[in-house]
Amino acid sequence: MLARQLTTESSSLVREFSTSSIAHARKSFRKDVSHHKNMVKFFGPKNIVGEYHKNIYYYPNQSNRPNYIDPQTNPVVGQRGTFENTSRSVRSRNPSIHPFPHNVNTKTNLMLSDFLKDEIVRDVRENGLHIQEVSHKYGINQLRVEAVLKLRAVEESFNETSGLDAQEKKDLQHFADVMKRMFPLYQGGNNGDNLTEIPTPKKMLQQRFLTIAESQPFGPLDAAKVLDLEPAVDTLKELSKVKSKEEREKEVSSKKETMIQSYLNLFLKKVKTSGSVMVSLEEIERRIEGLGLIVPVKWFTLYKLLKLVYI
Amino acid sequence: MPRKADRLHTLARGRVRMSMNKKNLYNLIKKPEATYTGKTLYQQKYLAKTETRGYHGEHINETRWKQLFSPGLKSNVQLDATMRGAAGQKHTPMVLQTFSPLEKRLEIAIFRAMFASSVRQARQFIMGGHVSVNGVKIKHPSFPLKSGDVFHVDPVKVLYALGKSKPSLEQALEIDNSQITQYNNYVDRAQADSKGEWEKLQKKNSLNSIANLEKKEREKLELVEKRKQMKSAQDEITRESILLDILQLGSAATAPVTAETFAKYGPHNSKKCSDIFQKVSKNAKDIVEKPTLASVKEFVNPDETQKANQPDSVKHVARSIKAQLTELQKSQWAEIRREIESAENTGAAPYDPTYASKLTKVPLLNKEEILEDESNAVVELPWQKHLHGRQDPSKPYFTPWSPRGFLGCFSILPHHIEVSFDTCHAVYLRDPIARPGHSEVISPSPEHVHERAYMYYRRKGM
Repeated sequence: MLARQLTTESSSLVREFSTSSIAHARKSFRKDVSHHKNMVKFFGPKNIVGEYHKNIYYYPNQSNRPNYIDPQTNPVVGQRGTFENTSRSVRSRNPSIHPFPHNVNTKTNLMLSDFLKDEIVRDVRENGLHIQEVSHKYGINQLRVEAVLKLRAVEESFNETSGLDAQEKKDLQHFADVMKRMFPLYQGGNNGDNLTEIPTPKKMLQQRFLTIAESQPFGPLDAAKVLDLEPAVDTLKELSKVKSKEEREKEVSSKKETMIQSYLNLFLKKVKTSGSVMVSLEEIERRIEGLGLIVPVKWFTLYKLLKLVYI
Repeated sequence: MPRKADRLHTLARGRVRMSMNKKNLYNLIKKPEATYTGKTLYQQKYLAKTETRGYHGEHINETRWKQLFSPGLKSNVQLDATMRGAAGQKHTPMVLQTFSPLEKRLEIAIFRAMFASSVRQARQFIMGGHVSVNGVKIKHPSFPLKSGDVFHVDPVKVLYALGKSKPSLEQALEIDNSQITQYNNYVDRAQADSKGEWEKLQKKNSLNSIANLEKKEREKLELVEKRKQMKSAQDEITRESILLDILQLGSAATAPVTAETFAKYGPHNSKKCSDIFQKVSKNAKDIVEKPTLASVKEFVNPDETQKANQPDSVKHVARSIKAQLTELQKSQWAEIRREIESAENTGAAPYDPTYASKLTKVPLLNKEEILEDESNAVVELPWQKHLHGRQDPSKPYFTPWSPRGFLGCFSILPHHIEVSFDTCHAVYLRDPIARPGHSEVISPSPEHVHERAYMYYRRKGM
């Protein structure tokens, strides 16, 4: 109450605002840096049709060499030092690969040219190569090769099914041409995907401590043993081997088998815990084989199936 | 419900968003790298979290994101680091996978595949029913994609998103009228000083990469055409045609024939021409009086019977004339070739002094009439035969399609999505992963920011 009285009494003596208040601080800050003015300078002049025709970033690059922003270069042609930049890019950055000035871990992908896609499609359809072989031939990830084939199939039927009119088709073609000229092209050689990549084994993501004698030799093989992993050499051999048709089929069927096995185990566990029907694993397997069952997607599908078999 | 889109691109706040807005570009270029001096660990983590969340799933509220976040980070190892594409001894930026659970959401995948200009626009496309996954229309922006899923966006929507904004009829009229005024001014200037204007035009360098490319293609075609014309022009020039021309010029001259009569052949060749004329008029007066192609041919290139009729002196003269004519022919051919080659080397068409007289002024557009009915619009500009951006006004996008500004800075080809721009289909290969020296999650923030953001959400610390 007293304080209030004091303030009303002395209000004519002191200034009406506090310079330390947030509102005031913001005000003064805004005065110093006019972002809007700086932005206008960054864009440069507009032409009649509203394009920033002097800005080097305005038009997309069409030589398969991206032109990502670089805070250090002058953005407007013919005008110098108008835009005040407050940022610098990381030293190891290459503005035609790394889109962001501070993050060199983000890169743009390399585009597969139409010619290369045609080659891939021809190799698979006409030359009868397996996707794995194509992947090794061009140094492209298997998933990507599969995607190229999928998209090609879509492209082939697109013209009839798209329902676009002539103008839209023309515009879409132009759009595709512009986009395809924007990204760096994959030209084979050292830029290819590393085909020896595997998901990091979970055991490798945690620290393990092992006490060993100072003189005891300890190499990668020993490490693999400790971590209970297959030696990298073996995995690598498996990965880089192009398998024959029979081997691949065998692999698929063994995968299916293990899947069925795991589902059955799960099912049996359920059955056992709930105390109902007791069945031997072999019998179920025999019955499933008799049914010509492929791979049950979810275990309750199998549960329903087994119910059919037994009841 | 998404978060409210509240002042997403304010310059004072300066957050970088998943958007192709031009203000976003300015915010990105002005953003200084994060510094942590004088900040407590919690302040650092909070700053990093704000920074990264402003970009990654800005539209998702915090509670939802915390449910999506999983502390397990995906990465790949390279067994043979000596093989191609290997990053050598670089370390794996694991923490950049903090926001990878978001990348499988349909809306973000559509933005990554460059089928929408922002994530919020991608959401609108999905909810409007313009997106399908594996041929099935999906209306849920958060639909999680799996490895091998094919998603598709209506091409018209893509053209709308990545094209320039379509001007309204009023805007287009205003732009076109100012274009026409400028063009008419140019015509005036060119007709007053054609050489000067032509030189100015040659000096102009445009940054418009697409227009430059089209111009180059056009010039290439023109050059092929010109080469053809050159061949036919050269074929027309024979010894007979030159002699005929000389004789016609000589007999038409009123004053006594000197080298000046044949000035069009150049100073060196005109002497030869007058020499030829003198020789012919001395030895074969009948041809000079009435020069025809047949008689000239008989004189220079007689067949067997004509040869027998010719006296020896005439034969001798004809042979020497023939040699001189061959020289003239060669120099004429060289001149034609030189013209074309100089055009090829400079990359520009040679100066045509009559170009300015061919230019015609374009009448201004009648605003009222066109506002009533757009089909009344007739634009006669040499580069544009329709209203600006409204070639087909029934389309929702700028026609003919033209890329939006600053598209090149925002387009990043993702590693985890294979895109087909021809059909606006894309395949989601797999969830993005980290490998030595590379992270497939696209993010403007550096690793140290992501590290702190990860710590913020991990709670227990790393």
